[in-house]
Amino acid sequence: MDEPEIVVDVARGDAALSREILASLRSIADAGGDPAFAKLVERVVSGELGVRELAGTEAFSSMLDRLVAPVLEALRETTYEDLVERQPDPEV
Amino acid sequence: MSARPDEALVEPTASDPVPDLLERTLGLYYLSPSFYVAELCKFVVGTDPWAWAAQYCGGDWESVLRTSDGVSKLAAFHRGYATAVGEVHGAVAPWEGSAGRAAGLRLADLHSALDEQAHAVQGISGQLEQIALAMYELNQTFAEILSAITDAGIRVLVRLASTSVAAATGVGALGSAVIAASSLVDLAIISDLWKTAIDVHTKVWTTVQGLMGVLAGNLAKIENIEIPRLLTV
Repeated sequence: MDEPEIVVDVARGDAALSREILASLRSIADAGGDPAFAKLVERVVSGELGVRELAGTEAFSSMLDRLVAPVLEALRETTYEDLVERQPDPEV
Repeated sequence: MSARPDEALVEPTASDPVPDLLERTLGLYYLSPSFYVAELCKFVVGTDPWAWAAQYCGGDWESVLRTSDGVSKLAAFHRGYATAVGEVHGAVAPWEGSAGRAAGLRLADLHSALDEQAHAVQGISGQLEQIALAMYELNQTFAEILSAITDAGIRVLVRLASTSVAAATGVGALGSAVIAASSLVDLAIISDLWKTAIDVHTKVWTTVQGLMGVLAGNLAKIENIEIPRLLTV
Protein backbone atom coordinates (compact mmCIF):
# COMPACT_ATOMS: atom_id res chain seq x y z
CA MET A 1 0.00 0.00 0.00
CA ASP A 2 1.33 3.36 -1.03
CA GLU A 3 -1.10 5.45 0.98
CA PRO A 4 -0.12 6.11 4.56
CA GLU A 5 -2.03 3.86 6.89
CA ILE A 6 -4.74 5.58 8.86
CA VAL A 7 -5.08 4.81 12.53
CA VAL A 8 -8.68 5.13 13.65
CA ASP A 9 -9.42 7.39 16.62
CA VAL A 10 -10.74 4.69 18.93
CA ALA A 11 -7.49 2.71 18.49
CA ARG A 12 -5.66 5.56 20.28
CA GLY A 13 -2.49 5.26 18.23
CA ASP A 14 -2.33 1.46 18.20
CA ALA A 15 -1.88 0.54 14.51
CA ALA A 16 -2.55 -3.19 14.98
CA LEU A 17 -5.73 -2.45 16.91
CA SER A 18 -6.77 0.02 14.23
CA ARG A 19 -6.33 -2.61 11.50
CA GLU A 20 -8.43 -5.03 13.52
CA ILE A 21 -11.23 -2.49 13.99
CA LEU A 22 -11.19 -1.56 10.30
CA ALA A 23 -11.29 -5.25 9.30
CA SER A 24 -14.24 -5.81 11.66
CA LEU A 25 -16.09 -2.79 10.27
CA ARG A 26 -15.46 -3.99 6.71
CA SER A 27 -16.75 -7.46 7.51
CA ILE A 28 -19.94 -5.98 9.00
CA ALA A 29 -20.38 -3.75 5.94
CA ASP A 30 -19.63 -6.59 3.50
CA ALA A 31 -22.26 -8.79 5.09
CA GLY A 32 -24.80 -6.42 3.62
CA GLY A 33 -27.89 -5.52 5.54
CA ASP A 34 -27.48 -1.77 5.41
CA PRO A 35 -26.04 0.17 2.46
CA ALA A 36 -26.05 3.39 4.50
CA PHE A 37 -23.79 1.77 7.10
CA ALA A 38 -21.52 0.41 4.35
CA LYS A 39 -21.15 3.93 2.93
CA LEU A 40 -20.17 5.29 6.33
CA VAL A 41 -17.60 2.51 6.76
CA GLU A 42 -16.10 3.48 3.38
CA ARG A 43 -15.65 7.00 4.71
CA VAL A 44 -14.01 5.61 7.86
CA VAL A 45 -11.65 3.47 5.79
CA SER A 46 -10.64 6.51 3.73
CA GLY A 47 -9.95 8.43 6.91
CA GLU A 48 -12.69 10.94 6.22
CA LEU A 49 -14.84 9.91 9.20
CA GLY A 50 -13.78 8.94 12.70
CA VAL A 51 -15.08 5.77 14.33
CA ARG A 52 -16.29 7.93 17.23
CA GLU A 53 -18.42 9.89 14.77
CA LEU A 54 -19.57 6.68 13.15
CA ALA A 55 -20.60 5.41 16.58
CA GLY A 56 -22.87 8.43 16.92
CA THR A 57 -24.83 7.76 13.73
CA GLU A 58 -28.29 6.26 13.36
CA ALA A 59 -26.84 3.63 11.03
CA PHE A 60 -24.41 2.46 13.70
CA SER A 61 -27.19 2.27 16.30
CA SER A 62 -29.45 0.22 14.07
CA MET A 63 -26.51 -2.05 13.17
CA LEU A 64 -26.03 -2.64 16.92
CA ASP A 65 -29.76 -3.23 17.31
CA ARG A 66 -29.49 -6.00 14.74
CA LEU A 67 -26.18 -7.59 15.65
CA VAL A 68 -25.25 -6.73 19.22
CA ALA A 69 -28.51 -6.42 21.13
CA PRO A 70 -29.00 -10.22 21.15
CA VAL A 71 -25.40 -10.71 22.34
CA LEU A 72 -25.85 -8.29 25.24
CA GLU A 73 -29.13 -9.99 26.02
CA ALA A 74 -27.31 -13.34 26.22
CA LEU A 75 -24.68 -11.75 28.45
CA ARG A 76 -27.32 -11.03 31.07
CA GLU A 77 -27.23 -14.69 31.98
CA THR A 78 -23.63 -14.47 33.09
CA THR A 79 -21.36 -11.97 34.84
CA TYR A 80 -18.17 -10.31 33.78
CA GLU A 81 -16.29 -12.12 36.56
CA ASP A 82 -17.58 -15.48 35.27
CA LEU A 83 -16.40 -14.65 31.77
CA VAL A 84 -12.94 -13.77 32.98
CA GLU A 85 -12.67 -16.91 35.07
CA ARG A 86 -13.62 -19.16 32.21
CA GLN A 87 -11.04 -17.66 29.90
CA PRO A 88 -7.31 -18.37 29.84
CA ASP A 89 -5.23 -15.35 30.85
CA PRO A 90 -5.14 -13.11 27.76
CA GLU A 91 -1.62 -11.96 28.58
CA VAL A 92 -0.17 -15.47 28.30
CA MET B 1 -5.81 57.92 54.85
CA SER B 2 -5.70 54.60 53.05
CA ALA B 3 -8.17 53.51 50.40
CA ARG B 4 -11.76 53.09 51.53
CA PRO B 5 -12.29 49.53 52.87
CA ASP B 6 -15.47 49.09 50.84
CA GLU B 7 -13.48 49.54 47.65
CA ALA B 8 -12.55 45.85 48.10
CA LEU B 9 -16.19 44.87 47.68
CA VAL B 10 -16.33 44.48 43.91
CA GLU B 11 -18.05 41.86 41.78
CA PRO B 12 -16.36 38.48 42.36
CA THR B 13 -14.95 36.47 39.46
CA ALA B 14 -13.64 32.93 39.06
CA SER B 15 -9.92 33.45 39.64
CA ASP B 16 -8.39 30.73 37.46
CA PRO B 17 -9.11 30.15 33.82
CA VAL B 18 -12.74 29.19 34.11
CA PRO B 19 -12.74 25.46 34.85
CA ASP B 20 -14.62 23.36 32.39
CA LEU B 21 -17.43 21.42 33.85
CA LEU B 22 -17.68 17.75 33.12
CA GLU B 23 -20.02 18.40 30.23
CA ARG B 24 -17.78 20.93 28.60
CA THR B 25 -14.65 18.82 29.02
CA LEU B 26 -16.34 15.70 27.77
CA GLY B 27 -18.24 17.24 24.94
CA LEU B 28 -21.64 16.11 23.85
CA TYR B 29 -20.34 12.96 22.21
CA TYR B 30 -18.75 11.51 25.32
CA LEU B 31 -21.48 12.75 27.58
CA SER B 32 -24.15 10.78 25.80
CA PRO B 33 -22.40 7.63 24.69
CA SER B 34 -24.37 5.13 22.77
CA PHE B 35 -26.89 3.25 24.83
CA TYR B 36 -24.92 0.12 24.08
CA VAL B 37 -21.63 1.46 25.45
CA ALA B 38 -23.42 2.24 28.70
CA GLU B 39 -25.04 -1.21 28.73
CA LEU B 40 -21.68 -2.83 28.14
CA CYS B 41 -20.17 -0.88 31.03
CA LYS B 42 -23.04 -1.90 33.29
CA PHE B 43 -22.18 -5.50 32.48
CA VAL B 44 -18.46 -5.04 33.22
CA VAL B 45 -18.45 -2.67 36.21
CA GLY B 46 -22.04 -2.93 37.40
CA THR B 47 -22.84 0.73 36.92
CA ASP B 48 -23.36 3.33 34.22
CA PRO B 49 -20.14 5.40 34.52
CA TRP B 50 -21.73 8.50 32.94
CA ALA B 51 -24.67 8.53 35.29
CA TRP B 52 -22.30 7.92 38.19
CA ALA B 53 -19.98 10.76 37.15
CA ALA B 54 -22.90 13.14 36.71
CA GLN B 55 -24.08 12.31 40.22
CA TYR B 56 -20.75 12.34 42.07
CA CYS B 57 -18.54 14.74 40.13
CA GLY B 58 -20.99 17.14 38.56
CA GLY B 59 -21.71 20.51 40.03
CA ASP B 60 -21.20 24.17 39.40
CA TRP B 61 -17.60 24.35 40.62
CA GLU B 62 -17.07 27.56 38.73
CA SER B 63 -19.58 29.27 40.97
CA VAL B 64 -17.79 27.86 44.05
CA LEU B 65 -14.60 29.40 42.69
CA ARG B 66 -16.43 32.70 42.17
CA THR B 67 -17.73 32.51 45.72
CA SER B 68 -14.17 31.98 46.93
CA ASP B 69 -13.20 35.22 45.20
CA GLY B 70 -16.19 37.03 46.71
CA VAL B 71 -15.24 35.81 50.20
CA SER B 72 -11.64 36.86 49.58
CA LYS B 73 -12.87 40.37 48.78
CA LEU B 74 -14.84 40.34 51.99
CA ALA B 75 -11.58 39.47 53.79
CA ALA B 76 -9.86 42.37 52.01
CA PHE B 77 -12.67 44.63 53.22
CA HIS B 78 -12.08 43.50 56.80
CA ARG B 79 -8.33 44.03 56.43
CA GLY B 80 -8.96 47.50 55.00
CA TYR B 81 -11.38 48.24 57.82
CA ALA B 82 -8.79 47.06 60.37
CA THR B 83 -6.14 49.26 58.78
CA ALA B 84 -8.46 52.26 58.83
CA VAL B 85 -9.27 51.64 62.50
CA GLY B 86 -5.53 51.32 63.17
CA GLU B 87 -5.00 54.74 61.60
CA VAL B 88 -7.72 56.32 63.70
CA HIS B 89 -6.21 54.64 66.71
CA GLY B 90 -2.88 56.28 65.84
CA ALA B 91 -4.64 59.63 65.60
CA VAL B 92 -6.22 59.38 69.04
CA ALA B 93 -3.09 57.97 70.71
CA PRO B 94 -1.89 61.38 71.94
CA TRP B 95 -5.23 61.96 73.68
CA GLU B 96 -4.99 61.97 77.38
CA GLY B 97 -7.41 61.33 80.19
CA SER B 98 -9.99 58.59 80.69
CA ALA B 99 -11.93 59.41 77.50
CA GLY B 100 -8.70 59.07 75.53
CA ARG B 101 -7.84 55.77 77.18
CA ALA B 102 -11.36 54.42 76.62
CA ALA B 103 -11.25 55.42 72.97
CA GLY B 104 -7.82 53.81 72.64
CA LEU B 105 -8.97 50.53 74.19
CA ARG B 106 -12.11 50.42 72.14
CA LEU B 107 -10.21 51.00 68.89
CA ALA B 108 -7.59 48.41 69.81
CA ASP B 109 -10.36 45.84 70.47
CA LEU B 110 -12.06 46.69 67.22
CA HIS B 111 -8.79 46.46 65.32
CA SER B 112 -7.92 43.05 66.67
CA ALA B 113 -11.45 41.67 66.14
CA LEU B 114 -11.44 42.88 62.54
CA ASP B 115 -7.99 41.43 61.99
CA GLU B 116 -9.06 38.07 63.36
CA GLN B 117 -12.19 38.15 61.23
CA ALA B 118 -10.15 38.97 58.14
CA HIS B 119 -7.90 35.96 58.76
CA ALA B 120 -10.78 33.52 59.21
CA VAL B 121 -12.64 34.89 56.18
CA GLN B 122 -9.49 34.68 54.07
CA GLY B 123 -9.11 31.08 55.23
CA ILE B 124 -12.62 30.26 54.06
CA SER B 125 -11.87 31.76 50.68
CA GLY B 126 -8.76 29.59 50.40
CA GLN B 127 -10.65 26.44 51.38
CA LEU B 128 -13.45 27.16 48.90
CA GLU B 129 -10.87 27.66 46.18
CA GLN B 130 -9.08 24.42 47.01
CA ILE B 131 -12.37 22.51 47.02
CA ALA B 132 -13.37 23.93 43.65
CA LEU B 133 -9.96 23.20 42.12
CA ALA B 134 -9.88 19.65 43.52
CA MET B 135 -13.32 18.99 42.04
CA TYR B 136 -12.23 20.58 38.79
CA GLU B 137 -9.22 18.25 38.57
CA LEU B 138 -11.48 15.33 39.43
CA ASN B 139 -13.71 16.32 36.55
CA GLN B 140 -10.72 16.46 34.20
CA THR B 141 -9.59 13.00 35.27
CA PHE B 142 -13.09 11.61 34.84
CA ALA B 143 -13.36 13.20 31.41
CA GLU B 144 -10.16 11.45 30.32
CA ILE B 145 -11.19 8.13 31.83
CA LEU B 146 -14.70 8.25 30.42
CA SER B 147 -13.40 9.03 26.95
CA ALA B 148 -10.98 6.09 27.14
CA ILE B 149 -13.81 3.85 28.36
CA THR B 150 -16.01 5.03 25.49
CA ASP B 151 -13.31 4.18 22.96
CA ALA B 152 -12.81 0.72 24.47
CA GLY B 153 -16.58 0.23 24.52
CA ILE B 154 -16.87 1.12 20.84
CA ARG B 155 -14.05 -1.33 20.01
CA VAL B 156 -15.89 -4.08 21.87
CA LEU B 157 -19.20 -3.31 20.15
CA VAL B 158 -17.60 -3.33 16.70
CA ARG B 159 -15.94 -6.64 17.49
CA LEU B 160 -19.15 -8.15 18.86
CA ALA B 161 -21.02 -7.11 15.73
CA SER B 162 -18.35 -8.53 13.48
CA THR B 163 -18.22 -11.83 15.41
CA SER B 164 -21.97 -11.99 15.26
CA VAL B 165 -21.92 -11.49 11.47
CA ALA B 166 -19.27 -14.17 11.06
CA ALA B 167 -21.30 -16.75 12.92
CA ALA B 168 -23.34 -18.36 10.20
CA THR B 169 -25.32 -20.27 12.76
CA GLY B 170 -26.52 -17.11 14.41
CA VAL B 171 -25.94 -15.39 17.67
CA GLY B 172 -27.73 -17.96 19.77
CA ALA B 173 -25.10 -20.56 18.98
CA LEU B 174 -22.24 -18.18 19.69
CA GLY B 175 -22.55 -18.02 23.41
CA SER B 176 -20.69 -15.77 25.74
CA ALA B 177 -17.40 -17.67 25.44
CA VAL B 178 -16.78 -16.40 21.90
CA ILE B 179 -17.77 -12.92 22.93
CA ALA B 180 -15.35 -12.97 25.83
CA ALA B 181 -12.53 -14.36 23.74
CA SER B 182 -12.78 -11.57 21.20
CA SER B 183 -12.90 -8.71 23.67
CA LEU B 184 -11.47 -9.76 26.97
CA VAL B 185 -8.58 -7.30 26.75
CA ASP B 186 -10.86 -4.33 26.12
CA LEU B 187 -13.32 -5.44 28.77
CA ALA B 188 -10.40 -5.57 31.22
CA ILE B 189 -9.39 -2.06 30.11
CA ILE B 190 -12.89 -0.81 30.93
CA SER B 191 -12.81 -2.56 34.29
CA ASP B 192 -9.34 -1.21 35.20
CA LEU B 193 -10.13 2.33 34.06
CA TRP B 194 -13.25 2.38 36.19
CA LYS B 195 -11.32 1.11 39.21
CA THR B 196 -8.87 3.98 38.71
CA ALA B 197 -11.76 6.42 38.45
CA ILE B 198 -13.25 5.23 41.73
CA ASP B 199 -9.83 5.37 43.45
CA VAL B 200 -9.23 8.93 42.28
CA HIS B 201 -12.71 9.94 43.38
CA THR B 202 -12.17 8.44 46.84
CA LYS B 203 -8.84 10.26 47.24
CA VAL B 204 -10.17 13.63 46.09
CA TRP B 205 -13.31 13.26 48.16
CA THR B 206 -11.26 12.58 51.28
CA THR B 207 -9.27 15.76 50.60
CA VAL B 208 -12.45 17.75 50.01
CA GLN B 209 -13.98 16.49 53.23
CA GLY B 210 -10.85 17.54 55.10
CA LEU B 211 -11.10 21.00 53.56
CA MET B 212 -14.76 21.23 54.51
CA GLY B 213 -13.79 20.42 58.09
CA VAL B 214 -11.30 23.30 58.17
CA LEU B 215 -13.85 25.55 56.53
CA ALA B 216 -16.46 24.66 59.13
CA GLY B 217 -13.88 25.52 61.80
CA ASN B 218 -13.38 28.94 60.26
CA LEU B 219 -17.13 29.49 60.08
CA ALA B 220 -17.42 28.70 63.77
CA LYS B 221 -14.56 31.09 64.47
CA ILE B 222 -16.31 33.91 62.64
CA GLU B 223 -19.48 33.26 64.57
CA ASN B 224 -17.61 33.65 67.84
CA ILE B 225 -15.70 36.78 66.98
CA GLU B 226 -17.43 39.73 68.49
CA ILE B 227 -16.89 42.93 66.63
CA PRO B 228 -17.37 45.85 69.04
CA ARG B 229 -20.00 48.24 67.83
CA LEU B 230 -18.96 51.79 67.16
CA LEU B 231 -20.98 54.24 69.14
CA THR B 232 -23.33 56.30 67.09
CA VAL B 233 -22.92 59.97 67.51
